[in-house]
Amino acid sequence: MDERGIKDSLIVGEQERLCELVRSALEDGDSAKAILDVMIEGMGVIGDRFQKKEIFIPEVLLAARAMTSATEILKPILAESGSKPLGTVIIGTVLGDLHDIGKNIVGMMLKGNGFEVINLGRDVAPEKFVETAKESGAKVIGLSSLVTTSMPQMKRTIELLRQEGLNGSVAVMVGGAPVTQEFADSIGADGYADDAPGAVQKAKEFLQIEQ
Amino acid sequence: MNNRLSELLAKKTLLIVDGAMGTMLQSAGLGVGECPELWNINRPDSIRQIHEAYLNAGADVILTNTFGGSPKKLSMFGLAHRAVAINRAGAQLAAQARESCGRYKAALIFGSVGPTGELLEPLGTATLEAMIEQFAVQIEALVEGGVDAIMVETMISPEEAIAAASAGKTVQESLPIVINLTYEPTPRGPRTMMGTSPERFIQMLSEQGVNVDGVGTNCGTGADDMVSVVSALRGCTDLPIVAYPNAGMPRMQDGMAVYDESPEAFSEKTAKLADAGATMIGGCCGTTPEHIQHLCRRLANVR
Repeated sequence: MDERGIKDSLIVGEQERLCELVRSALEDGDSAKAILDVMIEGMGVIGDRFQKKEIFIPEVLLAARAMTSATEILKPILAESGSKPLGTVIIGTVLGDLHDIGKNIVGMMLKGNGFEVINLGRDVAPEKFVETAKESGAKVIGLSSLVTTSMPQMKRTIELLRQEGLNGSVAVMVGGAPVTQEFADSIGADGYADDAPGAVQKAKEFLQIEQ
Repeated sequence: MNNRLSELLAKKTLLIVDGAMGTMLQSAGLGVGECPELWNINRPDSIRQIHEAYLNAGADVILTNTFGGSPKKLSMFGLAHRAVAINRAGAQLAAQARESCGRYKAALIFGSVGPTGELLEPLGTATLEAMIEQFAVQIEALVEGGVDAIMVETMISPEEAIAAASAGKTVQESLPIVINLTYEPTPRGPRTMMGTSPERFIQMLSEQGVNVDGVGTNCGTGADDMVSVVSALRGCTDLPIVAYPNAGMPRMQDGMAVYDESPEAFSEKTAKLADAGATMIGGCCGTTPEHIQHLCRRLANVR
């Protein structure tokens, strides 16, 4: 397969070209898993550049969108071959907070790195996180907050998970503009991420996936 | 350009903009998940008091409590249908506060216009036309309520900011409009979260033929990081430059993020923005009437 072409078209967000290259790689007999891995490498480059502030939201969104549509082509084949996602991550902006641009970027980055993502949206009650964790069996939850007044809801969510006996089996990472490592520690979160690539790294750490 | 903003800028070399509204409302009891702009209807006295406190502190410019007043943003609280009433009331409350503070009658009222929370096509689903329409509804109500000018603020998308400015000019050709973007420091200089530099933004304004009455920056990571934004703008435009930073970076206290830069420290740092070329300076998140009062005192000799 044209590894270089796949990576490059993903990095610049050329959706159509990426899909074309993915289709022709499949025709040439490359495995869906191998193609996905090349795209994940490409997303790694995007994450790295975003973290270094060499690229910004538009570039990340375009690359993620290209990857999402190319992944759609691979999905049925991956499912047939029994290939599983890295794991499932539940994400959401906590109760009382209506901001979701940052949280959605985290979601796209996670997907782009091979995770299954359940995006609960914004203004999500602690009960909803707990219920979804129970239903889905997800082992990681990402909580987002942009306004300082909604930050106590992160603590409430973690407390409720504990009450429901899910601490230990579900790891919680927190993030958002006013959120810090210090705050994460003070509310008993399992991790803190400064940005979307950091969240991917945390999720991998939680699930003990080799970086 | 001949309007109340240019007249005041001609009279005073430096205008002081008021401080935070949102964090003041939180101190006044705004609950989590409550719509701040709805207080224009339900808690008008509290809003008037905040405006009066800033006027008494010495602010030349006060901003209405309408930051999230676009119908789109209000729809997140199920309040889109009340957009006109909420914005009109916001403007009227500021006007009443100015009226009651006799000796500050020269103060200007800027209608605050913040982001819709949506991303424009092709990154998001909002069309430019729909975005302009959103802002037009809000700005028309602000003008009806009596604002002197519009402050488009805390924008990260230059396209969205320009949409708001275009909407303002459609509502009233002569309406003074200032656009402030929020930047963060990067190795290559300040950029918005969309990657726009101050220089690029000025270029976009001229490419698109959008006439504004001031440009600047607000919110973000504190006054220190704003100096480079102001310098960059000064280097590429003759427009009045606006800058109002947060009271530093939020710090953790009892499990809550608080902005706790003292009025003294804030004033020292923010005064440097005037040295760098800003002609309208004030405060954003975490600042209080005391911060603005200190800033006025600190700059008394230049004004």
